[in-house]
Amino acid sequence: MKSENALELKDVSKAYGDTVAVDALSFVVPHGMIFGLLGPNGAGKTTTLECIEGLRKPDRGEIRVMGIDPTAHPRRLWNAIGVQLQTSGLPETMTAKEALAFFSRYHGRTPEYAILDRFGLTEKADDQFGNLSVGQKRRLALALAVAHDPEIVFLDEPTAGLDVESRMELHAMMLELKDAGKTIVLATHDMAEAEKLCDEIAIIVAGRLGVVGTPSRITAAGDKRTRISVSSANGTFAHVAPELPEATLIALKDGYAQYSSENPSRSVTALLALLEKRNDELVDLRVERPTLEERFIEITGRTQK
Amino acid sequence: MTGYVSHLSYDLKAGVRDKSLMLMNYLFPIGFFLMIGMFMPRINPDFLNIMVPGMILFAIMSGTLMTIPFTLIGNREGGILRSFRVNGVPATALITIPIIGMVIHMAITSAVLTVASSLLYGGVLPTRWFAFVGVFALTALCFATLGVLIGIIANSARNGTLIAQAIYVPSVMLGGLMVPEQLLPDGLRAGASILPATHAMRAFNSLALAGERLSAATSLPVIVLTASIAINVVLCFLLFQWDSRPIPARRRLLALLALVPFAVSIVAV
Repeated sequence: MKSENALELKDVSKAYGDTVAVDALSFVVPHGMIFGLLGPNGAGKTTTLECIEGLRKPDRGEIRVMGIDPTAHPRRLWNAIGVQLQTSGLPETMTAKEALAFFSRYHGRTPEYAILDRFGLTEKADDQFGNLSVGQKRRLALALAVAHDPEIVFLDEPTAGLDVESRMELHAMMLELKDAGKTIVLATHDMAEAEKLCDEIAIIVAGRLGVVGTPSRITAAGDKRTRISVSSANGTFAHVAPELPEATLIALKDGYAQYSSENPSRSVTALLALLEKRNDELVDLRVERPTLEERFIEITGRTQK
Repeated sequence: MTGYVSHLSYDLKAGVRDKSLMLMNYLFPIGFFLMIGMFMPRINPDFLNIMVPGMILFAIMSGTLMTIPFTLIGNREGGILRSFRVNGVPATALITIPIIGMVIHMAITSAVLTVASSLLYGGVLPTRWFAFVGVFALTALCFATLGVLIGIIANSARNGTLIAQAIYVPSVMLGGLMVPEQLLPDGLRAGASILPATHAMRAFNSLALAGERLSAATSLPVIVLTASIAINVVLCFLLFQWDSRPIPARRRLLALLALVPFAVSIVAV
């Protein structure tokens, strides 16, 4: 019987001596979504993942992965999940093909080499792991994580250190997996990646859950102020920026004035009227809502204080 | 089961692909044999009597003590063991496969050394081949299990090197490989019994070369090596860990139990 959620954590805590790594953490991940796990370094993301993956035993609380208790049935769990760890995780002299056979057989499956083609690794099938590029290593790690057809896949910073092209490729592969009905739990430091890929995210700070929800909802729940950046042809904003209604000047730099506005519509209207009045010409105008990154900094800063 | 077969198949290939493993498993012991064979019989003509077991033992020690611990430490520190764990690779496989793989590599090297000793330098061949193979298997298993145990208890590659060298260097000098045990001073001879190499050479000399039957007088080295293998295996399972966190000192001290059969043999003799 399929479990109600792909992943459930209830009051999970884990300490190393006097250091509390995870403190009463609770969240659920429904089936078929990409769920982002975000947090600053040392926030407890890796410990949380390790408890979920059955690599560590939580001191308290309950974890269910596809209905399986990782502590009680680790072997059952490892056949049901796919894991890409932060480290490379393969011996340097093992070829991509051997790695696939190695892991598939330990999962009790016949290796399906076609998956190497799906991840663009056919030509590298007989190359040793140590001779692959960083991007190819990550693609292989992802291929190995899903080779035994798990329902849920855990990816720990899969795109860290990759160039833009490799990152885009890996993003496309993750979305493909999601389309195939897999649940993905993605631990990342990359806010743009989380915003682009994740259906829901949880921000962990100091071992506790800072916030959980969709990226847009989390962003919207934060600071309501909108940033307005403006530059004009005849120097209205060059040295002394004029005052705007319901807006505060943040910075004056390189011919741009940056305002923070509680009512962007009113501020922008006033701004355009001012330019008209001064017979100046608009060169650039940007109206930006706070990003997930700014919201992340707000949450982590507030919680750590 | 197919996971184990796939694992062993890779392990055997890695022993040849990896340059440092290839060096220590094959090139170094065979090269050392070719070199020492050219002058050692001139210095000590009796060396030809112990050339075959001596060179085999040298190869086994190089292949096991100088490779197994570092592969294991590297895999643990590089997160490879964790990756294996979440993919269902059992600890049993990580302990037993390197041992089986190394015995196979050493069997090949030993066959080459045995044939080449006789053909190139006139080294004395065993008189009882069955006993020769048996003693080889015991020796290879003893050192391979010891290699895995060192890999498990060592906190770092540097620490592993120190432990491995602490066994390797005195074994080469005092284990009877180069100089027959009988030529050692009494104190050193008794002390050399703490080394697995000494017992391996005693077993090779009496059972395989001199053709003596297994008896109360000749069985001690066999018993010591067998007990050592059993204790090493138990300690490997007891102390094995997936993470690179150091093993607590108290638990590491348990590894000293591996010396018990050899210490007891000194008392028994």
